Amino acid sequence: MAEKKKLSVAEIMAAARKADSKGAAAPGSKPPAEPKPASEPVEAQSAQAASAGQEPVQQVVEQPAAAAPAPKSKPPAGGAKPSVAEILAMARAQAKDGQPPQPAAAPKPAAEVRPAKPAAVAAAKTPKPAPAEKPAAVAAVAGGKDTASILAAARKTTRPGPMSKAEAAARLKPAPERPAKAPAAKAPAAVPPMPARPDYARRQPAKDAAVAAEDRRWFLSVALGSFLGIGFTSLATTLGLWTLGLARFMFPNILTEPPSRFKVGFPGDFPPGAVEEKFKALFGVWVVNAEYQGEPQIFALRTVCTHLGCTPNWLDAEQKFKCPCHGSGFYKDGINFEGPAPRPLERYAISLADDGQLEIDKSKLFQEEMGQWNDPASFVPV
Amino acid sequence: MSLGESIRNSQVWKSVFRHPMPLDRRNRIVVMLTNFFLHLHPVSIKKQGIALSYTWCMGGVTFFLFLVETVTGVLLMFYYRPTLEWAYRDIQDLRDVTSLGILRELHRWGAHAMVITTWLHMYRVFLTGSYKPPREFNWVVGVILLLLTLLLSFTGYLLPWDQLAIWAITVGSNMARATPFLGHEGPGQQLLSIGGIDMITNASDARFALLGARFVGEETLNRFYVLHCIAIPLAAAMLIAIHFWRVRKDGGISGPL
Repeated sequence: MAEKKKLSVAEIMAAARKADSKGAAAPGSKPPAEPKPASEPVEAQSAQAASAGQEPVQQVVEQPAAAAPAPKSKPPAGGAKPSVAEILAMARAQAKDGQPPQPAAAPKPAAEVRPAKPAAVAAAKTPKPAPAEKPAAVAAVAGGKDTASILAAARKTTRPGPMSKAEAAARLKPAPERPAKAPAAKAPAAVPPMPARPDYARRQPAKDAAVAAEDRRWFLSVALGSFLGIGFTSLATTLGLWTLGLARFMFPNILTEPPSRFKVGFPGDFPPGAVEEKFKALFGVWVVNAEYQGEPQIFALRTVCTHLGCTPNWLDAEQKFKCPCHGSGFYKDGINFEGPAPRPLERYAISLADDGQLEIDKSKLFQEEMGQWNDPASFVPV
Repeated sequence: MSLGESIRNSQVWKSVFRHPMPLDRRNRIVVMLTNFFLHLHPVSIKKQGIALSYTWCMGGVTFFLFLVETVTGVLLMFYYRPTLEWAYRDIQDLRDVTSLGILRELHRWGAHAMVITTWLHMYRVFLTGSYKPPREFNWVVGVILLLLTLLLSFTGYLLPWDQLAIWAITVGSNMARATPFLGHEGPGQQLLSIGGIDMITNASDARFALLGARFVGEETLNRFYVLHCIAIPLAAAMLIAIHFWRVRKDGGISGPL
């Protein structure tokens, strides 16, 4: 922040591009005379300089870009609105030698030029034919104009893939003096320096006791050390609390489904051989009074087929449970005998309540093939 | 290789972030210029455009409230059943039983606020003359959006299914009886008749189409629920997108051109 001069976006862009192209070229230490790929930003500079009506700078004389004929078009009429490329070129030229650019191209700083519209259109069109003879240069000229080509230019000049901080620092260092071919007027870029890292962001060199204590306070100083920190901390806290609250929100505090423990009536309501279907729709239970292994008992069968989970029907005429999906059949006691069902129906827990009624508890299941139907909780003997 | 570097070099990271970390100034600028999410807001705007005393930020606040209504509304849909049996009870449960049931109040307060901010936004646009060419089409879009906001309020009002809601919709929808030509009590209703038989009756007019019945009932509840949760928000979202796009295309937010 040595000079407090305010820079426009265009100036910053121009300077940034310049700084980058310098930085990218320096580590490679290519001889500048060597012809470079046409898309190198150096060429973009030359093409833009050409479009602004200037002679290409000395640095690029030997390159194919510079070999292109001098711009055939006239420099833009005085007072005409310059194109973005021209603005960039002017800003760069200003930064380079401190002199105002071609007076004919733009007598005033770019931002202040407000020409009549037709003139602007004409001026914007005239510089184009010259670079158009070389497609790469066209792309370079367009580099200032739309984001796609900005990106393209950026991609070409920076090394792909992430880089370490050391590399980045090395790149941001001022490049060593260019060999003699470099243009004389290559002054350092007029870019505002990055602000110095605040203390908390500096890497601690070593850890003794005092520094360790400092480390422990690091989080607090970031989280609560400034108004910005407090703001973001409270924002993050609020978001976290809301997330927790919404997770809780998804778990209802009341259920409107039927209870899993309910009474179905007295044992006398279920005569021997009866299959009571009236609890099927609401509770998913058949209450059956039948023999299992020769012992008469009342039990509660779960109305879920053990094949794929459909609900079978009780066919009174055939005295069997029949699944409509794939034809599994079960005897009255729940044992499977036909179709794909691999095992008998399951029982719910059933017991006599204090008032003498049968009470079914759907939270406990009993499976015949595991010998659980002998559990006295799975039936009420008649 | 540090953990951070191995993450940044992983296939997953690279598939999400198309470019390496912007470590130089130009790439940082490019990131700002081309980021999709930052792109929703212009990279640069006129100084006036962020002057609160000039814009009141009412359009932005309205959009924020629209987002709030969307989020809270989706959450409320987890608990609300638009049936005669459950609609009222579910609302009661949201108030009395459900954890974080205050979401329902947030939805309601946000709805009131959104109507207010939409009006204020319109008022500000009028005062600053921002409806003038080339923004006149965007003004029309804005008026439609105001209408949709009011319709959202109207349809949402029925959903609690209490006495207030039922009678408010009864009274409100009675206005549709007087629709010209299409309301069975409206002017010109007699013109639409074939062979002396009225085509527009209380079972075939605009009000009937709105309610799905002759009286406010379960059909109306279901109809308003769908309008409130699906149809009108979709239409509003699309028009909001057009509204924002036109703001950008017509010379940026507010201020003289």
